[in-house]
Amino acid sequence: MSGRAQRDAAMIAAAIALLLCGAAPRRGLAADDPVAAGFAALERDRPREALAHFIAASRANPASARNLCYVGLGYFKAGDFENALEYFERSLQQDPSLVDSAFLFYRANCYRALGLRSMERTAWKALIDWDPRSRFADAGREAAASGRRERAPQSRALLERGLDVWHKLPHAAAAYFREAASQQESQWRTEARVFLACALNTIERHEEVLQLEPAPESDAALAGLMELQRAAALAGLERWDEAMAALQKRSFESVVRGQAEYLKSLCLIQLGRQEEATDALAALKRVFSTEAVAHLVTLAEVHMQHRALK
Amino acid sequence: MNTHEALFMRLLLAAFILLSVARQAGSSSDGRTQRYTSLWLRQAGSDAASLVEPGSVRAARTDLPDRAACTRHLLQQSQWTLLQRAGGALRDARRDLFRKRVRQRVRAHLRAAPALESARVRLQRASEAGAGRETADALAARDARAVTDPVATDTKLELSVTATEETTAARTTRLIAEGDLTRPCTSIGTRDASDRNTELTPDTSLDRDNTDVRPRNTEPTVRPGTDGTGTYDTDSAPGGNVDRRKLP
Repeated sequence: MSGRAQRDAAMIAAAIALLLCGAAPRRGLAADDPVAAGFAALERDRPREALAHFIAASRANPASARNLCYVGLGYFKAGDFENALEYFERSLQQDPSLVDSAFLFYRANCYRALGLRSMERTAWKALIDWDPRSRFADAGREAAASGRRERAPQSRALLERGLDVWHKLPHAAAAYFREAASQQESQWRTEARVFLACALNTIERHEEVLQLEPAPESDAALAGLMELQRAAALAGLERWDEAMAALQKRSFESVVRGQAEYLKSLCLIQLGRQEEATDALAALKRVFSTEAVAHLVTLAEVHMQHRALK
Repeated sequence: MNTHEALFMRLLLAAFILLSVARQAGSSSDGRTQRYTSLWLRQAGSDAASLVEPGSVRAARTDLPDRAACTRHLLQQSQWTLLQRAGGALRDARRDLFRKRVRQRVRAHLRAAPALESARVRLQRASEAGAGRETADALAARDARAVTDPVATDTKLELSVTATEETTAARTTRLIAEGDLTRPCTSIGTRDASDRNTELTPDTSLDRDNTDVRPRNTEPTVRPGTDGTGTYDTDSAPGGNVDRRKLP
């Protein structure tokens, strides 16, 4: 081999070595990065494996809304649309800037798979409005057209399903209740509205609770529960005086009376009406010797300590 | 080194620099986010070609029992929410009170105190503030557990207000009728007064309300109320019917 050929061979070897040096750390990064691993698993059509990676990423960084969104993607790919919707909604609540065409597309698809016709229509409309010329909007138009032939589930079934998932998936439950409340001809519309209020309070969307139509007074139990939820929403927004006024406006019936008294005590404490709060707490303590009341008593004592310091 | 070799070396150097830059970009947070976004869009793009089957997940139960029983069931199952909300408000208020207001006010008070105030008084107040903060942290931690743990938060509030003027027979009849409100069932409308004590099975999806499925007495223990108008069943208290071993 001539000297020149030897030099060329050495240079080529050096070039390969340099390229490997440049590429090697990237491979290491992907291996250490659960999100990248999750997407890699999706590329290999292994949704369960991808979901496990995304969940690991979310656990490693619970504050990341994007990671929650990827967990939703993992559930979607795995065919678990309720969990997918829950995680999409949670991520959106945590960081509204996450919205893009793909996000809206997946959310609409979740509603579609769950049979939430009204919610699906709204979601496709939001997607088309977001970017009318995108490929996702085209898919949305097609889906909206095909969905018109689909019959929506009965309100009762929606309420049942919402209640089943409420404790673990409150966002998904709220979607079920909202869908049931949107069915105009349903006899369960009031119930759906009341339970939507409960679910919205659970996920801390208090403003939306205040926008809901009140329950008719003809059904005292539901009307009371709705009023209580409105008061709870006002309390959640720290509008304590309005919450107190709402609680005092009506006499709550049996099934929600204990809760109303509890919430009233909380409002009195927050409003600094210590004497009334002390009396209310004493009354509550006589009938409810529980952890929850103990919390209120502790809070009242804290406020009193605060006043003494002041 | 001839011209050809020099050019080749420059090309190699440029390639190495580009690779290094790309690697750094890939390892930085922004670079990773961009990469994830492109992967996310790629996945969505492939999914956009095929939509999911509409209504592929359906609520299974479509039987329609009587409306009143269903409403009672729904009410029963909903009640933990308010307590959860109240617990959250309590936690936030307490945290706010301790961490912001109390500390600020104590500091302001100490700053405004007369110059000749003894060091002992200052020390005492500072220690009180410190103790308060510790208490707040402990309580906030307990509340956080209570809010995140459905067993601790899903406290049961049940109907049990009774008119004191009622006769025993009338009260018994009414409590039997209202007994439906105090026990959840696995499927709405599947039980009536005759099977109440025998057919209940725990529904694990509904957490603590279903933990107690013992046969229910038709004459629950009642205690005089505070306002002269009614009595409360102790089980109806917030957190009254819970497994206390699970409480923080």
